[in-house]
Amino acid sequence: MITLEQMVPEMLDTLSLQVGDEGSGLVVSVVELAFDLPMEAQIGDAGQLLVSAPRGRLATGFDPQHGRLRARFVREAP
Amino acid sequence: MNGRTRGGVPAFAVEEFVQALSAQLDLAQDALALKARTGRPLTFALKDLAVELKVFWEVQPDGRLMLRHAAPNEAGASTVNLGFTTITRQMVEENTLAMSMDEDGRGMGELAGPAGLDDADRRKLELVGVRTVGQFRRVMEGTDPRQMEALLGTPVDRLRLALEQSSMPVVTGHDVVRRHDGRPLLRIQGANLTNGARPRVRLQGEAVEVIEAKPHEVLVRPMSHHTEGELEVEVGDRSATGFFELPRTSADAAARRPNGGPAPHSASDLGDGGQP
Repeated sequence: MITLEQMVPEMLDTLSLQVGDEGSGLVVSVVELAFDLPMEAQIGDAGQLLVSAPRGRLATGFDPQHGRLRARFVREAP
Repeated sequence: MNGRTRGGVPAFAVEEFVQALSAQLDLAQDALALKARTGRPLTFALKDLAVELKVFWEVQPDGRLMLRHAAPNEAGASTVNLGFTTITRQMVEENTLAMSMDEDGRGMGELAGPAGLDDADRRKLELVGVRTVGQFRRVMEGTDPRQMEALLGTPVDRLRLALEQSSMPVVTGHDVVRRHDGRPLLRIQGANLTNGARPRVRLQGEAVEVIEAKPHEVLVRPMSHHTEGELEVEVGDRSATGFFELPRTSADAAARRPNGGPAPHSASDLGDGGQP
C-alpha cells in the first residue's frame, strides 16, 4: 500500500493529458479530469491514509474491504 | 492519541484522522506543484477529493469517538464519506476563530485543581469548542453559570471556582529585550497581568519602572544591579510571582571573578533570558 499523497500524483501519470503536436497545428489537451476508483484503504500507524488499487485476480479472499476514491483535477496555467 | 483494538488494527480519533488526511492532501498538492516546475507543458491542481472508507466506530469511556478501518472479512462495517475541496485563504480566515494576542491562551489544564475542573469537565468543554482559558472566560462571562451547569453537567461551584482561578494574575515566563541604547528590558509573560490600571512590579523586592502593560505581558526596566531573583507583579489586590534572570554585563562578570581572570562566557552567551 502507498500513502494517499503518493497515489494522487501517480493518478495523473496514468493518462496522456495532451495529444497532437503544435507543429501540425492541432493539439487536444485535457482541462479537467475526474477519477472514481474502487480502492483498498487502511489507516496507518500515524493516522495517515494508506491506499492501494484492488487486487483483482490476485485477491486472496482475505483482503480489506473496498472503499472508493474520487478525485477531480483541474488544469492550471503553468 | 490512538488505541489499538481488534487484532492490532489501530483506532483513531476522528479529528486526528482528518488532520492527518488534510496534511496528506497538502503534500499531494506540493507534489503536483513540484511536477509543474519540472517543465511539464500541463499542470494540474487537485480541486476536490472524496474518500469512502469502510470503518467501525468505537466510543471510548471518555466519550471520544474513534474509528478504525474494517479488517478483511469483518461484516457490518459503516461507510464514511469524507469530502475535501479547495478553499481560499479568505475562506479559511472567515471560518477560523480570531486568535487575539490579548486573549488568555493557556490550556484548560491550568484551571485544574482539587476543587477545580477535572478531565471529564475539560472534555465536555472541548466538545463545545472551549479549549483555552480565554475562550472559557469569554463563554462564562456572558452566561449564567447555572445554564452552563445544565448544559455541561459540571457543578456550578466548580465552574465559578474555575472562573475565579482564570482571572488570577499568573507569571509564566520572561525574556530580555534590548532597546536601541543597549540597555536590557525585562518582558514578563503571563496572564491577567493588568486590569486596566498599570500593575506594580518588584524585582528582588524593589519596585521598577513599568514601561508597557498588557494582559499577557509586562515590559519593565530593571535597575543596573538587578541580575536574578524573585519578581512580583501586583495587579490590584492580587499578585503573581516568579523568578527572573538577566544577562550579566562583562564588567559585572569580571567583578565576580577572583583576580579578574578570563571570562568563561560572554554576556551574549547567556542569551535573551531563560525560564525561571
